[in-house]
Amino acid sequence: MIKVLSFRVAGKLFGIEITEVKEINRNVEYATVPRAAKYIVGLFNMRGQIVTLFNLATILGLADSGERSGRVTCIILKQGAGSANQCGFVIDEPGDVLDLDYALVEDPPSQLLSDQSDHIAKVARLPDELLLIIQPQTVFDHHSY
Amino acid sequence: MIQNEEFIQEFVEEATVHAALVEQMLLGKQLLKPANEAIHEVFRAVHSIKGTAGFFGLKKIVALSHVMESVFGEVRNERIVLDEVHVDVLLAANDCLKSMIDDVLNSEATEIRLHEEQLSLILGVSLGEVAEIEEEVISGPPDDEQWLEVAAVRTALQHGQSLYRWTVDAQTALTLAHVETVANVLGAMYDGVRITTAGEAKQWFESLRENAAEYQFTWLLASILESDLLHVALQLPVDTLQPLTLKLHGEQAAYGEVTVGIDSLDGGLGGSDSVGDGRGGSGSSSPNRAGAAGDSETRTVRAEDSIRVHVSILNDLLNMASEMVLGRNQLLRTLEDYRKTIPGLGPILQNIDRLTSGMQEKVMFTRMQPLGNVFNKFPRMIRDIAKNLKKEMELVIEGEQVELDKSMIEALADPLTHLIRNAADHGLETPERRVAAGKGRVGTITLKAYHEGGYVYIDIIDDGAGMDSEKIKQKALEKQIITADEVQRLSEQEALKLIFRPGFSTAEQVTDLSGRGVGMDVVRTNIEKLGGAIELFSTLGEGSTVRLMLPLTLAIIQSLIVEAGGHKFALPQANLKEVVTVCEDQRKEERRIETIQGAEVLRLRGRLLPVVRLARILGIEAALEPAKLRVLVLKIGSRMFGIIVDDIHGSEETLVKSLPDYLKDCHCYSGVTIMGDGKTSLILDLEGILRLSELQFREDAETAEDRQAELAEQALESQNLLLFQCSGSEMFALDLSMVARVEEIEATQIERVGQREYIQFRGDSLRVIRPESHLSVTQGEQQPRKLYVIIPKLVHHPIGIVIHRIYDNVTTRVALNSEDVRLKGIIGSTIYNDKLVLIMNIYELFEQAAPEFYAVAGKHAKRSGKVLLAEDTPFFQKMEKSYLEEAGYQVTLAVNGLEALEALERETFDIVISDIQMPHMDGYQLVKRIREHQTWLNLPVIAVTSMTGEWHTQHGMDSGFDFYEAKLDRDCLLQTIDKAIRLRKQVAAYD
Repeated sequence: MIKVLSFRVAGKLFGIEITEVKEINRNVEYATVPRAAKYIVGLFNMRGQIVTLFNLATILGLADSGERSGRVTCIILKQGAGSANQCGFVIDEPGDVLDLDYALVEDPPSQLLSDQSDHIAKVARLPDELLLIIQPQTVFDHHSY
Repeated sequence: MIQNEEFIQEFVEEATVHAALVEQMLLGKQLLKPANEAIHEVFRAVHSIKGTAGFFGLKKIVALSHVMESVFGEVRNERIVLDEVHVDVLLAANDCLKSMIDDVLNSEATEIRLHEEQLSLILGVSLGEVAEIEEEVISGPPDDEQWLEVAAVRTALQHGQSLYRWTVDAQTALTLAHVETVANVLGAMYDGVRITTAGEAKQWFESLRENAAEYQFTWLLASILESDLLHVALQLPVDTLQPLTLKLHGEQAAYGEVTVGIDSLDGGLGGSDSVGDGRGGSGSSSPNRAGAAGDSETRTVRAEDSIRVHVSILNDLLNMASEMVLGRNQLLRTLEDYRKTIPGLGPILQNIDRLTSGMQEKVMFTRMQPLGNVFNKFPRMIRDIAKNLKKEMELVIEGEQVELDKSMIEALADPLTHLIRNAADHGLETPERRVAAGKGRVGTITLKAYHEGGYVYIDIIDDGAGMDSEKIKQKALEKQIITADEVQRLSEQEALKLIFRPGFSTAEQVTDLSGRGVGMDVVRTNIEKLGGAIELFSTLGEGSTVRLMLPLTLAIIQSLIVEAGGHKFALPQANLKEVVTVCEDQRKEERRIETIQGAEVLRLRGRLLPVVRLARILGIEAALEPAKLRVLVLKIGSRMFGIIVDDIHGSEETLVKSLPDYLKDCHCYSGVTIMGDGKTSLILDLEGILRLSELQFREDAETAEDRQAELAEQALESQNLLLFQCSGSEMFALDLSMVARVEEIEATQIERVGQREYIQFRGDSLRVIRPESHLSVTQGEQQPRKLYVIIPKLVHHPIGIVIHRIYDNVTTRVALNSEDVRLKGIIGSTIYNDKLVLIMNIYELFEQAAPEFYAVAGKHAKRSGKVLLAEDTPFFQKMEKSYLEEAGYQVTLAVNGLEALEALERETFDIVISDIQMPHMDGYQLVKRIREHQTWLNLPVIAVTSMTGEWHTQHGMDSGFDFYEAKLDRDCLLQTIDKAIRLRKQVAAYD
């Protein structure tokens, strides 16, 4: 049984293992960074720590609506305290935390988009939708692009 | 092997300190003198390295420190007098020890035999006959063996334990319980190090106690504890325990094994011959140990009222403290309105305010370390260099207690090493040359740290040959760093600066110490990276000084908040020279943006300054071309350039947080900061921006004007300025001579009559104005309860100036660096403590606010005529010139009396207005010279000065001035001019 936090990005359903998540922040006011890579949304001040926000849609090669009102909802990943590299990513909306039986979880199918294959750890077949569980280590390792 | 990895780090830290101490002592000359106090400290340091290393089973470290300890022991006992050669050997051994401590896990693999041999040579030579006695001891009479198990002693010493002699007089109050205690403790703690078994001791004791009351027993104890702790652990009276020193046999040490022989053991093991333990004693006192344990007051032993804290904890604390400051700011802002309605809230907020600031400051202090930490390694270096180069030199260190942020201290080590090497290698001459030049044989390098104006300065001064600018030019030509054409134009100072260019090296012979040509430019870059600056002074034949100027901490920097394309950025103010505003309708030809070969340049005071647009570099859209362009003039090293931004939001103290790795690829940011409003903002990396801009610089293209400007800056008179802020973020300044007083008022005291505001002041109503409503500066929203009103003097229709905060009252030399801030009501701008300060022109301000009283044209008839103004201070030059020109005069400037005379020779003037204090020729002299001259006899001359008072006035009138006026009183001055001209005309008419 694994616990997965589900969320939507560019309308699609994704999940992340709950053990990787530090917190969900709503109404985050961020500052964009000129000249930064296009998969970086911006920076924000989370209680004195600088958090870099990523654009998961861009990383996964999905069409990004691109419309943000300046305040976003985002998932912050766990990271050593005091690290200069706190990061998180912007989501459309958070979903439920799901208890997934191991039987439901499979390796990702080979026909996934190439942009996605490295970043998707597992796939879970939910009754009416496919849940892609992301692999934060590769998604947010900036060297992998 | 290593037994406890957790504690080993502590050992390393501790041993490093001890080894450093040993080195420091060896370098100090006092060890060379017999019978000095320092030796005890050194002995103890080595001893404690040995002890702890023994605990961890670090055999090689124990072995080496043991031999060193033996040598120091002999010195302490005054059997050896150290000479320079010995010190070299000991230093080398100490180096080896240090490297083993650094790499403790591999220390067992280190080859130490050479050091051991050399050290035992010191011992061997000095021991002489003593060695033979030791021979005897070790192969001594068999009854020694009975109680002295040599193997056990050897093991004990290999583990770094000390040996003690425990003497018990059976007749004393000692009971059997003591023996049992000792036996138990020994059994528990030192299993396997059996020297005399407890059982035997007990038996002997019991059997002998009855019938041999006068007997004495002597045990040999081995323990890792220092003597002062041992007697506590064993519950024995101090005087029954005596430490023993053991000697090493030189020839046996060569086998790499620590072999011990026991010599007379500080007075003999067999203190008594009663138990039949053999050998006759040679006295039983051992006073030598007392010194080792007892003297701590001899040198600057750092008192141990400190604890070790991991840096990461301090960093976390620092982060949290700064976060708390932000929290406090928000709290204060939110609760400001409730101060009145909630009783007792005010004091609470005030207290929190104070505590938070205090805490932040203290946390910052925790990261501060004395510069001594990096200075300490230089005496050794100088010694080595002196040996190497066969020069004689000494290093004088001053200000090692000056503190800097830890990160800064670490980053300084390399540049300082380089500079000191340079001074020793290139700067100081050989003894022969020094003598030939009439100097002492020994050269001196002084390393001096001190505080000045929010910065820490470090001077590296040598009394060597100085730098030969001609030689440097020659070298620069050879290395093609500079063209022949450029060389012609270089001044002495500029020529010296050539050594900061990449690829420069002037030593005639490249030595292995310095002169590899990668030197000074790297030093300069490194210092500038720390937010510091480097300066160079040199007098040929007398020596050179390199001066480093460093900010106190890296963590907080003063930044200017600028805006481009809707983004706010922090720009480190250390590099900011001035802010220039360029207006669209700039009529003045000399200041505007032009395009030369596709690159934009700003014409500023006759020179072309390359400019870049921040928005363009960052690939963002700038605000629509505004009527006013803001250009920040920046200087990085010798490169000057301008950055055009959309807006400037004042300056803030910004806490620098490191840049996330994900943004390193942008190459234009050096960090992130959190601003007062809690938003993040990127700190611009000027070097990076410069690279991105691809601006081409002719390095060091400083012109003659720059030099003049610098000279002028140095010759400035200091002025007293009142620094204050209005509702906006700008910092303003007023010359104190124009301020009558400053009143604190409640916001509610201000009453409105139509568009105007008044307060009650000394029973009268006084009109007050808010400068921000009349000047083009930012206007803040907040309306604090308390306000201040500046009551100006030297004006005829007083108007109070409402300000929000008094910032400071400073005496400074104002470098009034602009004709640039072309704001009505502002004379110009200057930089004070890295802050941009706008100096107010009260008259212009009042003219805006109350034209009916202050408009020049309205009050005074338009004048004409030629005025010669002799004034050396740019600020006053500008002020007075502006009054006079507004009044219609044509003004010619002279910066001192001499220039004024020259100007008088050239053309005719209607009136001369002169300052009193000026360089070269002051006002008194000037007017005397004028009066001596036939044709200028009736020329009106007015003194305008800040030196008022009856004596001065009288002296001035005696010298020949027509009138003596206070500076900055515009209306008075204009009236006086009228009067003077009229009077002189009358006088001339009578003539």
